[in-house]
Amino acid sequence: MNLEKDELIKSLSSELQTVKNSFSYRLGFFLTAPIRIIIDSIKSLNMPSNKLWLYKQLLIVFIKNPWKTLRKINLHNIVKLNRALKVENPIQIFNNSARFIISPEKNANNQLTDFVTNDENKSEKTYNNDKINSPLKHDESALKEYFVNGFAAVSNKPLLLATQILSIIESRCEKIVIAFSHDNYLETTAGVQIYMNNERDAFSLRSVSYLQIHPQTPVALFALIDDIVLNVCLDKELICTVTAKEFIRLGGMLAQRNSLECIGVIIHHLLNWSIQVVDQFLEKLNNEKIFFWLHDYYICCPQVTLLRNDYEFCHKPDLESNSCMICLYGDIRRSNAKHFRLFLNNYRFTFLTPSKVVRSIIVSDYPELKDKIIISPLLNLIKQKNRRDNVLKDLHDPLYKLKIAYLGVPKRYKGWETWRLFVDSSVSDSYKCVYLSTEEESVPEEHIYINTLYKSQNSVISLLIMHKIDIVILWSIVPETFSFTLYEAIAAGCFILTNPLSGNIAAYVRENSCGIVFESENDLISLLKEPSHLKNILINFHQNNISYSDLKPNIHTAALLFNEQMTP
Amino acid sequence: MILPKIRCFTSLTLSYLPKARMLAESIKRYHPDWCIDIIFSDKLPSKFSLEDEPFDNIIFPKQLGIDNWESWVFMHTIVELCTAVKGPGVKYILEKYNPEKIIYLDPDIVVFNPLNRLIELLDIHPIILTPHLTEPNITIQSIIDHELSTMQHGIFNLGFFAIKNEGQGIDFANWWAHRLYHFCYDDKPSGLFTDQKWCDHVPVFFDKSFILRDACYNVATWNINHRKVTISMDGTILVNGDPMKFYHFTGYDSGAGQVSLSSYASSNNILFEMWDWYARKLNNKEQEKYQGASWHYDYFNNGEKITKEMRVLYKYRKELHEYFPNPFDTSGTDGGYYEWYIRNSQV
Repeated sequence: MNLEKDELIKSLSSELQTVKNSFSYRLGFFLTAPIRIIIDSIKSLNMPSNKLWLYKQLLIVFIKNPWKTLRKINLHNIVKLNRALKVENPIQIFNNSARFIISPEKNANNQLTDFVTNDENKSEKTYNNDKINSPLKHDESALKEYFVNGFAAVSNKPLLLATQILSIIESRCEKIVIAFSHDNYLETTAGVQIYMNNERDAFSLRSVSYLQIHPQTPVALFALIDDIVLNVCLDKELICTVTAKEFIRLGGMLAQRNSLECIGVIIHHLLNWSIQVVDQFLEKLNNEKIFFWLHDYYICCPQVTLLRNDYEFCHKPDLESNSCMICLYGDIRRSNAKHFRLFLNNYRFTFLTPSKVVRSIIVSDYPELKDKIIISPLLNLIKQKNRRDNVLKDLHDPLYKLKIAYLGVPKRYKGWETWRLFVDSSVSDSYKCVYLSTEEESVPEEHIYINTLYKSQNSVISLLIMHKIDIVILWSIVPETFSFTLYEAIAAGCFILTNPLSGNIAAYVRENSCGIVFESENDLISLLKEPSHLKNILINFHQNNISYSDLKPNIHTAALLFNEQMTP
Repeated sequence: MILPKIRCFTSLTLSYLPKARMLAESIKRYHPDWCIDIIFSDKLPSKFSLEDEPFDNIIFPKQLGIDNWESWVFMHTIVELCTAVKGPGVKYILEKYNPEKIIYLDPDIVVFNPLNRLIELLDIHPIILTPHLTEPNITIQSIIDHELSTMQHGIFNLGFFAIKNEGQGIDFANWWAHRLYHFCYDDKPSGLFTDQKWCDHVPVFFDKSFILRDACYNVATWNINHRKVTISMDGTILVNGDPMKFYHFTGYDSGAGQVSLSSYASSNNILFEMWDWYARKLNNKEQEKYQGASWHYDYFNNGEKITKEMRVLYKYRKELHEYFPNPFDTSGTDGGYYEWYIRNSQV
């Protein structure tokens, strides 16, 4: 029986993988994200074979007909179904679905605290469980109906009404700032999310709570509001989910509330969002200041790093170009552009971006923003005495081998191919090569693992200093908008080797003479073939340049909202 | 009514409808004023509406002025017929619509940039052809794959030709239409390969013809080893540094195209991106529905399949043409050619 089930799971996984591959051609990566989640999770499912079969059938019907079914069913329902089916007991599914018919009258404010404790057993007592004994719940048709109608909110967190969310917020604070972004910033450690954590702390110091909203699952930019579910985080906690309609209602309620002040709205990212939801929410507000962060090129193209077909930097050509025509994202880019232009012209946003590079690329699509975008680096480098002692002594030692590192994820667009070209050739014999990453990649060179649990800028800086890294190769082939990695390497006193396509990396290196911007890969390898010459360049660099040793978040939004002077 | 000065046509059966849609849309993208004709050697699908298609006009074999057209169609396989109709087709378009210039493009071609230079060239040269190869190959395998193959199939690829409606342009159309009426078969031992091998004569017979060696035209797997495909910063696909005019996705359905691409351009990701794009777009144009659709002229009207032997016998026994002027027809009392063939083949 177990063997049979193993085989079934294996075949389901491979079948779904095949379907997903063809699906991804049609929709692009961000809409396939839920499917990937399911494929990963199906392998670890523990459920009867008949239920697995049904599960597969429903998914395949959906995946094969995404456009037909997207109007009726939102992608988040797939994830909900996935979660529901993981729960062995169908009753549990309908217990969860019963939450959806919760009556606000029945639930007094004092019971709402149960909601947010994440104590499932405790919280369920407060819900209307009329449906638990429904005759529908055990058979396949019920499961199908559940999927097709798809409204039952199955989540680890309760689905709340606007009034309930408002009660929770009011019970905790008097002032809030509302942040929109594409995912749960509490769970991820990428640049934007790190910044948002810092931003939340900055507001917290000013007694302002941070209400962050993100879509539960990705939806298209122009998706209809019906069926969209959002996750709500208050300060450091994911508190609940809310339908888009209720969220818009929340906007209206906030505008009329005297006891709770919304001091501003910060749109960090609209990836995965339906623009209609954001638009209708903002319409409800009073005249709060609204910041619109341009962390990447999303308002220009849904491929936020501007990689044509996820492969090669495209230089963001004209929408009608051959390049956009053959790109997976070309059609979506074309249709998104209209929506963004309308939306951006509809509000008086304060635009922020982390570098001049982003501004110049975005302005080429939106010339009307030319004088409206404020440059605000996400971090500031703190000048101190270099913490790495004896660096010059090392460099003057003729036997000393320079330590060169690749820092970051091993992706082609981050320069991984160039790194491998160097490390796998005899040129690297003259160096100690180190690979520092959060990825568990098997490589022949020394690998220093950065534990994501403890990752912070300062821990990466410490690692670079501790391992005496002299040079970091940051060979991104896309225009980096800011590059936390660059700042970490600079703070650790490393010399940077990069290329002109690397955006803010190249711009920063040129402006601050803290490395070399090579015209080509060949030029890079040519210099690396001369380690003694490179040593001399480094000696000169350390003798003549300012040393940094720390980074400090630069929370421009908080400063602007509180009319504070920014520290340079 | 003012008729368009430039007409572009292609030839297809139902299974190539999605590809022809791709071609037509790509032409209209750069030349919305051109008129697109399709010669459709098949039965139209139900619910087909020309208004919903990117074509301007459909021409059927029976309109081409061919005597006893059903008999003529019967003698050809699907590939032979689709190529054979190009000759009478170009004559028909010249005579009926009197355009200044005509361009033929195979349905599995996609236009990537404007064809203005080609149109200008037609003012100087009334016949334009593109060779399969423009440079010698080096390795033995590539010589076998490309040069020997070209010697069998024809020096020029007749997935494209362009003519001007004057002088030798008209002479070529008449000559070619005549030859294709009589001899458009895949019969390599007899020195024939459909419409293509005939055109080896063109540079000699028609001294004003022009061999367009520009690498940007008719790029395909048979010449890709000599063409460097890149994308410029403004997003234009380039061939040897100039904008690609049209690409021929030959061998798409059979998979031979992808195999050849892997052999001769495996390091060029752009070409694979183009093939992936082509696949995606074809899916949006009902490729799944029509790919492998049966060909109407592959069956007698009693539903029985026509074999190659049935066609060949009919082709060579001239008396059968008179006796069975419509060999598809099985409704007569004698059961038509079908019954005759079955009876006699059993004997």
